[in-house]
Order: sequence, then structure tokens, then C-alpha cells
Amino acid sequence: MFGFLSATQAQILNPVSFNYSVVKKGTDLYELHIKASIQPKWHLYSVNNPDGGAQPTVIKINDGKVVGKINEVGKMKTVFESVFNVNQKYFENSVDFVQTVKLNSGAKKITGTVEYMVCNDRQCLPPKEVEFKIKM
Amino acid sequence: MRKYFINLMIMVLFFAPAFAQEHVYQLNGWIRNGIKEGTAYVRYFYRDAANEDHMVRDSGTIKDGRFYLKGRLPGKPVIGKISLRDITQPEPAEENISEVYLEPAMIKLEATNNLLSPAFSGSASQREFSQLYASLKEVRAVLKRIDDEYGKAQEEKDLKKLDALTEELKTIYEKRQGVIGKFIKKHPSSFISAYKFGEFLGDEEIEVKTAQSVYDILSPDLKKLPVMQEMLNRISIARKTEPGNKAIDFTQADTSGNKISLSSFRGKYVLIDFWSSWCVPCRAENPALRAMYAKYKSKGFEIIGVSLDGGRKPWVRAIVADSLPWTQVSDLKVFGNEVAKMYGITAIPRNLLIDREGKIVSKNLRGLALERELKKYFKD
Repeated sequence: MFGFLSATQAQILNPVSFNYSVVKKGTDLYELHIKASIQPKWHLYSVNNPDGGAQPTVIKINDGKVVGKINEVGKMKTVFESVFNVNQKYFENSVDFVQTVKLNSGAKKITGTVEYMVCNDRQCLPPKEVEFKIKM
Repeated sequence: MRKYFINLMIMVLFFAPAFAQEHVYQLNGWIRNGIKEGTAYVRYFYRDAANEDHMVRDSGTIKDGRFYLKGRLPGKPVIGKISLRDITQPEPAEENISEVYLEPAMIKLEATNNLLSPAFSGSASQREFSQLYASLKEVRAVLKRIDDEYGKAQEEKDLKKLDALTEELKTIYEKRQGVIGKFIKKHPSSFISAYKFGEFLGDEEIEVKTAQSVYDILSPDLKKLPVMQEMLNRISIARKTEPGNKAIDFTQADTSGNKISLSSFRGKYVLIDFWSSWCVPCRAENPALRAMYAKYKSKGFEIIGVSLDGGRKPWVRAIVADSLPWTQVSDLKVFGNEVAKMYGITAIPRNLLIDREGKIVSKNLRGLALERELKKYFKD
């Protein structure tokens, strides 16, 4: 029997959901898209959120080798937080984390993890790690 | 016996595809005077037997305001989100997102202009869900407005406004609880009741008596669902930390490594403040805490900051930057902090006020609410 995560609970404690896809770019070369849908008012932090602020999103790839840096496609907000004395970088509503990956010859899947935390104006939720597995 | 077994096998084989079919939903939608061309998405989460969370997304094309979606369900109905994206937009607009109850049925969705007031039909449960969703419309609108105003008030450091919004939030949570509670009482064996129970509890304070009484109504089958076990845990933790109870004692190290116990503050009013250096809303509370500490410390008020930091450096840096003179403890395990776990802390900031005998008197006092509460115990 399947258990399930209540959507209502997801709504209350899980303001971000991810959708994964890959685009083939060459022999064993793939562009990985991790698209986050963020519920209104919640902030998902950039992979480049500076030290001293909220924990940045961290994407780890287990298979193959990453090529270049993560490209964040979305409208990034940079807000000076006087309490931290840093410019926080975050996304609202949505962002697509794009990472090019060179897989081992003939590999058929990419696995990895996304670690992230979210805050809104009233509260912060615990950092969370989600695993993903994409089959080609 | 053998023959019976073979018959059974045949039956299983025969019924397997039909059984699978039972877990498929279909949705026929029509939006009048709204999006004409674009894409409709259905999205939901479920947790599998191995306790892994999955997200499923189905989509269909919108043509002349009509759309059709079909998808497999994870063995049980789920509540998901349906969103409509206009072909000219990169994302669905906020007013074009609604909850949807997905079950093995031909679901009919009708809406006008947007998805703020959708009408679902096609089965008895669809109509029930539709009614419940409609009766929560005002709650959704108020929550959205509070969300908008809260951010603005915080930017402007408008304490009075923040206080008013927090009070309004309490009222609207109560209202939501009333609406959902009534629904659950009327439909104690509906999946919708189980799915809505989390929202019924809310994500801030749980009023144990009400929560338990509504939980008790749910049918035994629903109570077996893993998610209900989680809900029951939340209620039992809330019961332990409800005002009137003795605060659970704990010992944790301060910034210099000295072990500090809650019980060593007996005889004083103590605010246990769960916070972290990386939490902007927590840091925003610090000026108010500082003012209260300065005003009432000599009269017997203490604060213990329990930090959910993961590293010593940012923790100490924040204490210095915000000039926090009170006791600070942490085990640097983030949300795995043992004290936070003991007190069922699932988001920060959160706090509890303990009286001179070590009894919890109130919870989650933010901004001006803390001052109001302390005034009751300390004469100026």
C-alpha cells in the first residue's frame, strides 16, 4: 500500500517543489534542469547566497562530472538584509537551476540531491534535502 | 485446493488491469472568460512505501478555455494543485492556481475568469470538496492579504501593524479550523477530511483539546494512514508544551561550552527563544527582546536563546552583532537540535514563556504581544 504525503501538509510545510528534466547536448553531455516551483511569499535562496546569510541552495550530482557553473534562470532578488549586513539573493515563485553534466560513456541516469531552505517574512523552515534520479 | 488457487490466480491476472484503471483520474475543465490558450498542470506529492517523497506533474493543452488531463494516482486519492498558464506567460498567475481533489473519476471543473472560485463535480466527493474549498475562499483571501501586508510592515518596522496582523492571523486560523472541523465532523471517513487535517491543525499553535476531539471523529481506516500518525505526533508534542504544563527540562552548552539547564532559572520568568543566525524573521524580533530584557531583567525576567545554528562562528557573530546579553545555548545541529525536537519546533522563530515555578504560561509571543504578556506579571 502506498502511503502519502498530504498535500495540505505539503502546502503548510513544503512550500517548494521540484521538477527535473534533461536536454541532450552531445555525446554523454546533458543539460540538467531542476525547476523549483515556490509558493507565494516564500524565498528560495540562490546557490550563490553569500556566507553569513541564509543557507544557499546546494545541488550535488552523483553521476558524471559537472561542466561549468550552475545557471539560475529566473528573476533573482538581491535584498540588503541589515540584520546580516549582506546582500541576500533569492528567488520567488520559480527558478530553473541549469547544470551541464558530462556522464560516463553510455550512462543512463543522473542522480543527485538538492539541499535548500526557505523563509517567508514570518518564519523559516528547516533545511531539507531531496534526492532525484533522472533516467535518460 | 489447487484448482481454487489457479482460479484465484486467473482472477488476479484478470482483474489486475481493471484494478490499475481504478487509479486513474480524468479531468475535464472549462474556464469561461479566462485563459483561452495555454497549458493546464496538475501537481501533487505523495510518499511511497519506502518513505520517499515524489512529485507528480501532469499537463494538458488549453484550447478555447477547455482542457483535459489524465493521470495515474498512487493508489489513493490525493489533493493536488491545478494551475492554468496562459500561452503568453512563463508561469501560471496566482489567481489561476487552485487545489484539486484527484480520485479515480471523471472530474468536471468549471470556472469563470480565473480559478479563485472553481466548481468541481463528477462525484459526491467532488461536490463535497468543491463546497469546502468555496467556504475557505475568504480565509484564503485574508491569508494572502496578511502575507502581503506583513512583509511591508516588517520592512517599515511598524510594530503596531505587525501586532494587529498577528492577532488577525490568529482569528483567521480559528476560522479556518472551524470550517474544516465542521467538514470533518460531517465527513469522518472521507479522504478529504484526512488530507485537510494538517491544514486544520495549522502550522503554528495547536489547541490540543479541539485537535484531539476532531482527530477522534476520523474513521479507523483514515487513522491508519501514515500521515495521520504524523498528525498524532504533532498533537502529542503540543500536549506536552501546552500552557499549564511544566516545561520539559533540558541542558545544553552555551557559547563557552558551559552546560546550562532550564531548571537553574527556577524562580524567574523565562522566555525560551528558538532562533538562528540565518533566520531573518528571528533576527527581526531581537530588538523587541532586547527592550523587554532591559526593562524586566531586574524584576526577574530571563531569556534563554536556543539557537538552531549549524556552526559556532555564525552563531557567535549574530549574538555579537545583535548585542544579545542573555544566555545562549545550542548543540549546533540546526533543526536536529535536541531541545527543539523535545519541544516539537518545526519552524522558527518560536518561543515559550515559563513562570517562576517552571510552568508554561504562553507561547509564540512576538513583538508587542510579549510586552503585553510581561506587563501582566511585572508591575511597572
